[in-house]
Amino acid sequence: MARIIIVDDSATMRQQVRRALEPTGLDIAEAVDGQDGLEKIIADAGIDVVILDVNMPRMNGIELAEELAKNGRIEGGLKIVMLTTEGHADLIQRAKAAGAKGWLVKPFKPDMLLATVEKLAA
Amino acid sequence: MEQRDQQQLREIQSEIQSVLGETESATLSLGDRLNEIVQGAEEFVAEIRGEIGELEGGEGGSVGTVLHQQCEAVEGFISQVQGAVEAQDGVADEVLSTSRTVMEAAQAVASISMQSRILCFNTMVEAGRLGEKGRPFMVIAGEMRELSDRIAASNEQVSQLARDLMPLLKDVKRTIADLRGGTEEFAQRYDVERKSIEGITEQLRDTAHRSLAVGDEKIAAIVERSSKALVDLQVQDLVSQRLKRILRLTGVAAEGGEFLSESLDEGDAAAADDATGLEAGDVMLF
Repeated sequence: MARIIIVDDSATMRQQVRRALEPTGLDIAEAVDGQDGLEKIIADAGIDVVILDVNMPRMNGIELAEELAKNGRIEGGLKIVMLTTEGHADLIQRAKAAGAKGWLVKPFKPDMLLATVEKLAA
Repeated sequence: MEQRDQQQLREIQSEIQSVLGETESATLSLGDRLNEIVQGAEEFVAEIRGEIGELEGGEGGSVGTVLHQQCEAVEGFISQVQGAVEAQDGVADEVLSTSRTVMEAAQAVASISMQSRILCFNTMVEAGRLGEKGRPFMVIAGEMRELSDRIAASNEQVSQLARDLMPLLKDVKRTIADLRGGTEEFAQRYDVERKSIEGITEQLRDTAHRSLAVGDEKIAAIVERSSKALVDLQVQDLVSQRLKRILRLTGVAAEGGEFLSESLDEGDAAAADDATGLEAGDVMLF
């Protein structure tokens, strides 16, 4: 079964993302910042989708995406969806270059997030 | 910045952090409650739909179908009983008719037997007049009389049997007539009951559908409002996150670092970058 990890420093945001993705029936994990996310993703080869915030303490989402690209996880099929308030073109470009598959702007609509993840997980 | 000012600033920061922590807890709790409301509403609708499904056609068929099948079974039974009653009545009529024929035949035999006796008597009288020559005729007449007596006795038994059978057959006919009347009355009452059952089933189905439609509309409104509230919750959380960031940067500045105002650019969905044109809720797939 596909597994998802939500990487966001906001507990409320993780709660709402989890709720939005529950209908997928997929296993959902959480990480509280970029560094925590990196460690959990590296430790768990079963994670297929990452919902990733940009602005976080210790390591931001763009840096995390770039780290995952460096160690070959994205090439190995890991799909990243950025979920952020950011809309800067250069940040979007960096995420895209690292191999992210999508960019969603907060506050998000649960059905849009669900549809995006279902499309990527299929 | 003087040491006293720095101390005051740290205290203010600590207070703000505490408030933000409480806000986050409250936001999480509110999120949980709203999730429960939405989930409860969705489960309620699913449950109601399930009940309606049972009414319309579950695994064992709908309530209407089951009632209809039961009605068909009862009607089949009534029809069988009516057929059996008619068949019994026909048999009883045939036995009655045969008994009457037997009685008529017995009367005819009795008449012939009487004539035979008279004939024997006359033969014996004539044989007596002939004396010795008439003796053989006397013997024959005697045998004939004995035979005639036996026939009469046997005929009487048959007649008696037929006579005894007549009241019994009349009783059978009465019972059959009662059964026919009872069956017809049951069929008529059952027809009324059936129409009543069908009416109640139809009313039940209509009421359930109307209730579901009204409930659906209200639940949809609740879900929509709750979903909007969940988005508002996200906005509230984003503001809290932005305040936390300001606090962090203020702390850096208080410690003698540089306050970089550009670090605060993110965090406001309404201020999303013009170059990309992305707005809150937008999705861009690569």
